[in-house]
Parts: sequence; structure tokens; C-alpha cells
Amino acid sequence: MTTVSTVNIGKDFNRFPSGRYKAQGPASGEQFREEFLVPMLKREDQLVEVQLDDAIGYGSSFLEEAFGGLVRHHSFGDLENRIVLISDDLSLVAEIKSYIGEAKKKKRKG
Amino acid sequence: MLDLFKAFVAWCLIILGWVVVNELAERREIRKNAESKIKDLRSCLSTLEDLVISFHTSTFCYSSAREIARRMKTLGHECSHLERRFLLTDEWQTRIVAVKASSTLENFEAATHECQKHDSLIIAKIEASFQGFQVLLLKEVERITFEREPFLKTIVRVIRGFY
Repeated sequence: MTTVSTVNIGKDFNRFPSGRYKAQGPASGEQFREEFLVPMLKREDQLVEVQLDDAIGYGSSFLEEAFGGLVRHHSFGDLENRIVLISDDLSLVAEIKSYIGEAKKKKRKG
Repeated sequence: MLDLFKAFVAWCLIILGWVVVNELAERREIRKNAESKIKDLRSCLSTLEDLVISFHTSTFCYSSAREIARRMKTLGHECSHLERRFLLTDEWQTRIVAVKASSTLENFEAATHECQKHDSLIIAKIEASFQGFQVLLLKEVERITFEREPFLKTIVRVIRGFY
């Protein structure tokens, strides 16, 4: 049975997530990925719902590292279907999906 | 009997005409509101561009970075709202992603931020992406202003609305 776990970036992580790497600050994409997304995705029967609208805003470097980094540093299958992005901003969802897609292309090229 | 029928047809035409005129007036209002909304968006975009360029050509400022992220979010939400009301086509999404990426993918963190020259590649990318979005918004205004539904189609749509 598929369960859904939810993370609200603005409430559960940081109101202004920024930066790529942990060395760059306390609210980086790398930290969010490793502390939230990876543990949730490790359970194979789990969908991960990511609520995006409670943060003040996002730097693209944060998003790219958090979501594109899932492809680069891990081997989760069917990522597009396992992560459900919730936002009223249609472009934010499109942006994150583009980072996942580009990371996959680059990984395939090797 | 014939007189009654003629009167009925006349009244139907009067009511239909009244509904069509109201419908056209409403559409004209919606169009005017959309044009005004998009004009505001263009103005916000221009201000945001100045802020982004200023951020990248100065020493790192946390509050500016935060303000840029906040305004990008507002812009995204407003455009999404317009798209849901069929006042913007979905082309804007690609443009705004390009704007966000050029502005905040590189040189956006304190640890990596370097003061850019005005002729640097980063600034050139920023200017190009904002210009692309501005051009798109202008095209959307033109589309909204000059798009006209054929009169017969309006009548058919109104009549269908009665059922």
C-alpha cells in the first residue's frame, strides 16, 4: 500500500531556503535533500509530497541542488512520479521538474 | 395568432440582442483588466531586473537576495493566476524559469558571490532573460487586445448558455 509523506519546506525546513551546499549555510539544498527527501524516498512504497508555498521564495541554486542532486547523488527510480510538488505557482513546479530532467540527461551522457 | 408569433419572435430577438451586447461589454471589460494587469507585471519585471542587476554588481546583500526571491515568488503566483483565468498562455512559464535561473542559479550565495562587471556573462544572461519575458508579455497584450471572437460565434455561445 502506498503511503504519502509530506514535507512543507517553509514550515519544516526554513522560511528562506538558500544556497547549494551545507558549507554555504544552514538552509541549503544539499541539507534539505539529505535530511528530508532522501530518508522519505528510501521507503519504496512512499510518495513524497512537497509543499512549496510557505517559503518566502527560492533561489534556483537551492532547487537545483535539492532536486537535481537527487539524480546526481542517488539512484531513486521513477522520481517524477514519486515526488508530488504542491504549489499555486505553476512555474515553480515546471522549474523543479526541469532540473530533475536535466540532471537525468547529464547522468545518462555520463 | 400570427401577430402573437411575430411579437414573440421580436421579443426573443430583443432579449438575445441585449444579452449579446452585455456579453460583449463584459468581454471588453475583462480584456481591459487583463491588459492593465499585464502592464503592471511588466512594470514589476522592470523593477525586479534593476534589483537583480544591482545585486550581482554589488557586494553580497542578504536582504536583497531575500527580496529577489520574494518578488520572483509573487511574479510566479500572479502569472499562474492569469493563466488559470485564460489571460496568459503557458509560454510564460519557460520565460520565468529562464529569468529565475539567470538571476539566482549562479552567484546568489554569500560564499560564492562575486561583484560582477556590467559587461559580464552573468549580467548578459540576466538582461537577455528579462528581455525575453518582456517581449512575451507584450505579445500577450497584443493577443488579448486584437483577439476577436466572430460575432456569429458569440450569438451561438449565448444561445447555448440558455440550455
